[in-house]
Amino acid sequence: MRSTSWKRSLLLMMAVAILAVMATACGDDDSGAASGSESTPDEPGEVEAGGEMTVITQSEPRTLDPASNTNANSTGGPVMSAIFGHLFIIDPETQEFVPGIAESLETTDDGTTWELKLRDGVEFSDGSPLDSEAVKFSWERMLDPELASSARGTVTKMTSITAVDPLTLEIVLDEPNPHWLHHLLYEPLQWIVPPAAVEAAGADFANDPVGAGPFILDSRTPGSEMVFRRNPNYWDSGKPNLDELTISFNPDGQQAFDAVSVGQSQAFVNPSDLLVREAEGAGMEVTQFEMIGGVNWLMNAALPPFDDVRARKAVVAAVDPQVINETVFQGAIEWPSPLIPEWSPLHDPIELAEPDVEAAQALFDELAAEGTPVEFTISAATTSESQAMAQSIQTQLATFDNVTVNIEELDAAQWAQKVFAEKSFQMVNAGTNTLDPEPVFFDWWHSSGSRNVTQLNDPDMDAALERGRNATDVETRTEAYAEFVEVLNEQAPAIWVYRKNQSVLHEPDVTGWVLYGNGTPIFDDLAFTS
Amino acid sequence: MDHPSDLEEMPATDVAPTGGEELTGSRATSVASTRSVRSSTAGRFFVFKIGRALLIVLAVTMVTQWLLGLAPGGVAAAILGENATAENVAELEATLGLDRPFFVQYFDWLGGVVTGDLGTSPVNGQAVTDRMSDALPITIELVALSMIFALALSIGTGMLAARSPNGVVDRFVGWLTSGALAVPTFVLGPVLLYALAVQNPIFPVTGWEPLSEDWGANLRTAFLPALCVALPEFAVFQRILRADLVGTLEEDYIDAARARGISERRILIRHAFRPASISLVTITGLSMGRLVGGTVVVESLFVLPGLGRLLQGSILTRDLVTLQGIVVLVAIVYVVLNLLVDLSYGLIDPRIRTRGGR
Repeated sequence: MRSTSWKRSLLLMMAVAILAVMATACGDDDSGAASGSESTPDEPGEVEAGGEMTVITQSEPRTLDPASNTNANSTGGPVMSAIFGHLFIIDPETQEFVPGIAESLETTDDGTTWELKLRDGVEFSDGSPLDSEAVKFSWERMLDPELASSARGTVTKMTSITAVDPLTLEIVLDEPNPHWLHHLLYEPLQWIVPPAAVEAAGADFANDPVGAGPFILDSRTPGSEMVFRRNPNYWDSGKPNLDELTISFNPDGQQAFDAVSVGQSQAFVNPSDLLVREAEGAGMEVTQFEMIGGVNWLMNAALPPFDDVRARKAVVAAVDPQVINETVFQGAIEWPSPLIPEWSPLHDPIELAEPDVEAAQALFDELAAEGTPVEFTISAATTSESQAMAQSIQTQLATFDNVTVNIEELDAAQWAQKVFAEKSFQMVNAGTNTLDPEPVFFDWWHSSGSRNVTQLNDPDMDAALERGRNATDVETRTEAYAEFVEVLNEQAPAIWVYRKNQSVLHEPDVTGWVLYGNGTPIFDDLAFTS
Repeated sequence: MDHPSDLEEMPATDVAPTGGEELTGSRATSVASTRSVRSSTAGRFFVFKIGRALLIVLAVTMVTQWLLGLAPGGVAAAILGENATAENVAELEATLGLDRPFFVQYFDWLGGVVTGDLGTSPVNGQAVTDRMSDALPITIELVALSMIFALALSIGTGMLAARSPNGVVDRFVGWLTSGALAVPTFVLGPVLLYALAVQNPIFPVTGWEPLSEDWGANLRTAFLPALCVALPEFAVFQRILRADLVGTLEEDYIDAARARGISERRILIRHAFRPASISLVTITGLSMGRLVGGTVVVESLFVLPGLGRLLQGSILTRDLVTLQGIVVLVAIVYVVLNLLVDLSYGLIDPRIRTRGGR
């Protein structure tokens, strides 16, 4: 018995193992796996009125006060857009002004004085009027340091905000900028709050917000989801289409994808490019728009080793973004060259610098011979994409002599501290992504820009960016930005990796997705089709 | 040594009589004085335990504040994000009172706690007690459900295994528990999700349905996460129980019971289980205490808005106020549970009581 009892246990183990493997392998195939579906339906079905939809986003806004939220699909954009709506957008495809609560925003001179005209009769969900005083109030409160508003810098640069009449607001800037209206696409300035309700509620407004958007917050499970019901008082009568909208939060992209594929949700905002590619094969559709510029890795030009332009050029010449594309993104991304693509009116065919292995090694050798070999740490974010890109850069540079690369991981708090407060990083993951170069190119690359963390101080680059800002005709601006790219190639402050798309992934019977700015959705037209 | 042949029927040879006897004379006096000594000892026991617990909570919260302060980047930087210029950070820190010395901040916070105010989070502007009272029921449900799973599985398989040590069932279960111990939660979770939520949509992929709304849907959302938590606990529970049962079954009074003709089944359930469960009770108490703060991985995997995720979020955003609230709660839970476990020993096994044990 003794000698055969272990054999019996072994047989038993094997039997169980085989059963377990069979159980997980056999399962229903994914239902609805259509082959070769396109991103637009063959025949638009009829739009159904009403309905309840669930949309997944990656992160929950930490507060419901719009002043404290950033206007992006990866942060508070979707929820704020549901509650507070929008003043206007610029259509990413036609580049045209599309009115919302605001009918127009135009400069009356060279870009110093601006006039915002509001639609008549817009009310907040509590019945109070949305007028120019409300806009003035909403913007001025963003100056309060306790709200930590991302628009504080922009409002600080307004010399005056005047409610000329209930439907007209006059804004005077401290410096002219004929393209200033683009600021509003990327900032919480879109979201207007009712002065009376805010003053009455005080800090509690952040938990119980009142807005003029298409939806009203009905219930909330912190950490999980928010449920909204349609605002019967919405300025666009007949909209929104949906009766109920649930926005749920899931930081895991794959899980969000799975939730849509099994029908637990109808849409997922801001999927990665890899998931976008999988979506089309899994019977889902993608609505997206492309931005100019791209995702990049910035080098700190104020600290060694990258205070020496040769070190920067060496790294840019050594790292091949196509290799990153293949190893990290399985070919799903596109190198952002030319920096301003063809569909943009400001397109110029000037390309970004291509990799050049010999030139790179020569520079690394030169610097080592001088006694300062290139050695640096890449500060990756906690996302798997960021880490994978960092590893690809490190691996590629390992094939060169006289260069040493380390990787560290920064969580959001460390990243904000190291990159923006201290500017003590050496290489960090960032992006210059926008519809029009203004204001984003200026913010990141002008020596006085609010996000110029590379601390590059090149007078030619500054001049080009200033020309691009102050000119209004397309030719001058196109030339200016072409010069900007030339200087980028000379100064090599960044490795440009891929073109950023703002996307939403959804079931085929969902229609009416409109995205703007940093991918923030507008929910007015969202509907089911039959 | 006392070996009751049947723990229920044997009168407890307690120092003080258990019931209804008339006492006279010197025996009465000596019993009475013993009683008063015991009650003041019990009183001192409680005071000592609670005093020690408070000291532990103080020490833990002080260390927490110190540790979080070591992490690079503060809550001001976390809130400001891309606007975290050095000036903005300094200004926000001054507004939030974060530029004050360590002990000033600590005692300011402690002063609030003593009056029941755990403070307001600078990150989300909500009272910490509100946030925690939203998150806690979810974690408690998760822990309770997983303990039920773990105990049911471990008691069932433990008893089966102990009936014939080294037999087929015992070895099979031993292999199962090795597997459950070896597979990390962050592997188990996605595998369960894939098998039971994506490939076969039996359970939802993500999210949490509150109990108050629809308990059926709630159980569906809780099942996989609870299973994920339960399996490693089950493995430990089962092994401990099995070892204790096997040991208990070898004691003389069990032979005596067999000799009296009591069935194996009754012996196992009625006679052996209770004394053998002492270690199991101890470890269940420890597990529950640990799990109240330890469900971070499962809650993150399944996106459950419980205490674990609140804890993780507060560390990532350097939200000390929320973190301290959770630390205080977990410390209190741990202490209370251990106290209950200590008290329960006397209930489970009267032999402990008779020996004048704790």
